[in-house]
Amino acid sequence: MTRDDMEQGKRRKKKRYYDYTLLFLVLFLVCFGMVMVYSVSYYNANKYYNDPTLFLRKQAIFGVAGTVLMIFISKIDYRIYVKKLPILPMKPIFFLYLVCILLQLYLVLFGDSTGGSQRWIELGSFGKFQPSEISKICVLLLTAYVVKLAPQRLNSIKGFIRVLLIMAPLIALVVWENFSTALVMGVMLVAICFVASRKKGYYIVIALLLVAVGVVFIVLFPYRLERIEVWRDIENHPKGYQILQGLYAIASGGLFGKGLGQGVQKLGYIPEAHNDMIFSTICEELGMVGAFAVLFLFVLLLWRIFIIAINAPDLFGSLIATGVLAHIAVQVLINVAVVTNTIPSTGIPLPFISYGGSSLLVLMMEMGIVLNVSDRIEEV
Amino acid sequence: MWFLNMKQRKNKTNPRKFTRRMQATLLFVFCVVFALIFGICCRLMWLNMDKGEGYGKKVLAQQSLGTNTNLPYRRGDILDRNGVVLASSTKVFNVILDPSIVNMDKANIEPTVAALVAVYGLDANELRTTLAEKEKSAYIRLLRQQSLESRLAFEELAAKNKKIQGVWFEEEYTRNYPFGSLASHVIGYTVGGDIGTWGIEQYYNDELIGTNGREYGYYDAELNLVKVSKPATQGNTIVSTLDVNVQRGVEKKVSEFLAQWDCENIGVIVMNPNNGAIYAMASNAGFDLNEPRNLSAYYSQEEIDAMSEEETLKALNRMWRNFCISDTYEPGSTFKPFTVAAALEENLVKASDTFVCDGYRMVAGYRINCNRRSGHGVVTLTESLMKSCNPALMSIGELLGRDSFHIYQEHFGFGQTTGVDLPGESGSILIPLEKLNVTELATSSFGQGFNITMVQLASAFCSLVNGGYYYQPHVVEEIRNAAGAVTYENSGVALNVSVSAQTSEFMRQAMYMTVEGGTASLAKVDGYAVGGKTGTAQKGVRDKENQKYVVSFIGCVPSEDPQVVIYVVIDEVHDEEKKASSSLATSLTSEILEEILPYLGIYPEGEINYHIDLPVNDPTTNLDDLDEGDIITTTEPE
Repeated sequence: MTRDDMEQGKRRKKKRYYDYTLLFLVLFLVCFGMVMVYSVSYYNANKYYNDPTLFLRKQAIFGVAGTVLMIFISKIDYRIYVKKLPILPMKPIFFLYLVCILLQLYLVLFGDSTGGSQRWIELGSFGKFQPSEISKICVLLLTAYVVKLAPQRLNSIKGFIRVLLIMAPLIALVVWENFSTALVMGVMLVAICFVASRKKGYYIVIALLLVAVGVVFIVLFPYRLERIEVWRDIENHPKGYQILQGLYAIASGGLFGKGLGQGVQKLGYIPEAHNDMIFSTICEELGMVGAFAVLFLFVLLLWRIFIIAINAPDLFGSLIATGVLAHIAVQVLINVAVVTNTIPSTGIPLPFISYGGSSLLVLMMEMGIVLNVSDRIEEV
Repeated sequence: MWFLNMKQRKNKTNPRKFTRRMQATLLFVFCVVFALIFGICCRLMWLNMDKGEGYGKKVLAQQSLGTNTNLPYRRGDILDRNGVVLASSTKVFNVILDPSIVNMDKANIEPTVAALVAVYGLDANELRTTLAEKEKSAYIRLLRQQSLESRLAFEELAAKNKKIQGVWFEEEYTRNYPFGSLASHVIGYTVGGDIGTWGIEQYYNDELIGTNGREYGYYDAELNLVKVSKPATQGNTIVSTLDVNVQRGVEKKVSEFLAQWDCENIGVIVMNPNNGAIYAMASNAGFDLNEPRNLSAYYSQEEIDAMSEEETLKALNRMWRNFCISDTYEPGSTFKPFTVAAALEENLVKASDTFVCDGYRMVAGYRINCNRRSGHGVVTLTESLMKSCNPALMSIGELLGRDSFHIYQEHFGFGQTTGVDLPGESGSILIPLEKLNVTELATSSFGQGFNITMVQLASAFCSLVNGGYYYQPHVVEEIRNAAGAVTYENSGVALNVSVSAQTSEFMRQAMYMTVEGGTASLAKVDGYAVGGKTGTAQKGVRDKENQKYVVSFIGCVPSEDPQVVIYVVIDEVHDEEKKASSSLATSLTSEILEEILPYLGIYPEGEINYHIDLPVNDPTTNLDDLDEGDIITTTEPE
């Protein structure tokens, strides 16, 4: 080997991929989200808190913190989460699992103070923290790790059930207080397993089982049945107000919308318009063109994650990317489907765009991990 | 347990690689997601195409309801000539409860109820019931016309506690009259805070009201919401000619008089003879403008309770009636100066002419008495006024003849409304020319047999003493718009010339002498040169036993150059001894003048040096004349 060859090889080895397209897409969506949060919230923020930029500022703090965190995580080797570290008695991934279980347990046991289920822990001046968001990362990494260890086991339903049973305690604790988050976790888990397994037949059985579980759920918790009634008769049901106002907004937007900031449905008609319902205001103000553009951005984002997944240096990285892809896809799909009244309502925010600190931070951490996976791709 | 066994097994196919099969599966997943997103795009298009129009209309319908608010205008103030506020409008607040907002969070209910109880003293249980029963209602008016202070107190509480929700305030104006009953007949009152119903409030209602503003939103061609705030046009401010101090002085003396004497009506007009501005106008006791339907000043509570609706209305109308402009009566001797002035104008008499009075005069077979049955003997023209001699006046009337007399009556404005800027002015009844026969002419010459209003006589008298200019009487001198610009000014409109300057000069002197040495000597005020003429007129049916009288005095101060004309009329004094005595009116005038003149900038002169050289035969006044006043027991057939 000549010196030149060695140098060339070295250089080639050092040259990393790092998916700037993905980074740009994420930052663009976050900034677009802030613009929309301000457009939607300034009226109510001014009316109720006498501070039009209140929500924008809070969201901006999390946006900046999330960006810093994302870039920091994208520089940490993702394999470190499953390595034994000298400072911890166990692998970081198991430590995270334990912490998540304890946090969720804490909520289940002590979080009942205001009646009904409580989803967050008060952090004083830092605001509220939703442990279930962190649990998403835990499910993502642990499932990918468990599957990576023995992908061939998933060729039978036994292997799938094994993975499911490992994750079950955490998902069960989450489902106790937040069905939507548990649903997202379940989809991530199933997606990773589905992609990794060679035999797909038994997933039909699993799908049927899921339907059965769903029916049992509806029977056990009658308020879910009510949501189905609302969904089927949105224009007349008294509890359909929020969704119906959202539909008014979507349908009145037209092709190009009323213009940014010009929407009227956010002026007290759509409750909590800056949270889960933000897509309806995007449709109203930016029209179908704007809504399609946003959806197209998500498709591009998913495509980049897909590219990273198939090029990842190892199975673990691919499965992480798969999980993140499933996570974002399912949130986008469910959120937009709920807002357009395509499915019964459930509370899931639109990734990167809806107001909400915990959700944004966790999503950007996931994107950081995926970026790191892309960072490990060696260009040929 | 088997599922916890994570020890990896060696596998020849390198299981740790993301196989092509897995890649294909992931591509499949991606395609499914893409397909679903495409499906949702279709759904969005369908929503826009199918529901776009209908939902768009619903959005508009929801919007236009929420953005339409009324901005009430403020009714203009009424000021006196010195800028003292006589009537003004204050912003008040209606407390509106919106249960639909309160009930959005059950934790709102108790703090909101507690705040309403603390500030407005409402019943807590009633509020809770209202909130529960009218859960979805958005508008319940809890209280009307609350003060700004209470609103601020409530908003302070609401600022401290975010759980106080669903209470808002609606603006409105109420009318306040800081002086209560002062000049009540002139200022007038409002109904519903906004509809002028009497006096200046009614006559100038169109000036006082403004136009409500509105805050509304509409959608332009591109369906953008355009918010428009059209401010209210505020009402104009009316500056009246009234003088609060003069009016108060007049009313004080009137009420003192009413405390002592019982009479049917009493009216006082104080005006500026040089421009027709009315400084004060008082009719009876007045009424509280803030409570115009409160009869308690005139009747006891038992009497009010006992009244039928019709009786109440009658009593109210009586209380509201402005005697000074609405009631007509026979003026009596206060008309004599006009007969004399007419004869002077026609050059039929001169100051040196004399008349013989035997105590009566036979007219067409009727014996018409003088106030002094023994007769005044030979009287000069001046003395005919000083002594209020009826036969002398009848002679002058005869000289004038019925045509001239009638023309002059109308020339002085009698028999017509003066056009004073107040509602409810009466015209009056003169004897028509064709019926003005010798007897009627004879009685008319000394003011009996026809009816006039106070404001007619006062205005005409002003022209007699001011040099001959008839000014239209008025109570408003200026109107200003909200910006303070003057939009209307009335500094006196001379409608015509009633008498020549010489006649006017004679009248001023004769009037002064009537007070100095004639029947009106009780009208004297220390230090002032007062001129004037008394009047005692028979009223209604001529009846020797129960004859009713109207006693009056019209005067001017200072005589050389009158700045103030005062006219006092007392209708039917219920006192057998004094009922025909003009001294009641004369002495009341003196008291009023003493009270009000300093306020008008007219101060005592000390030594009065008013040189008069009118021929007079007998300058002494017979006190019997005074006591009897100028009673006329007329028209009895011989």
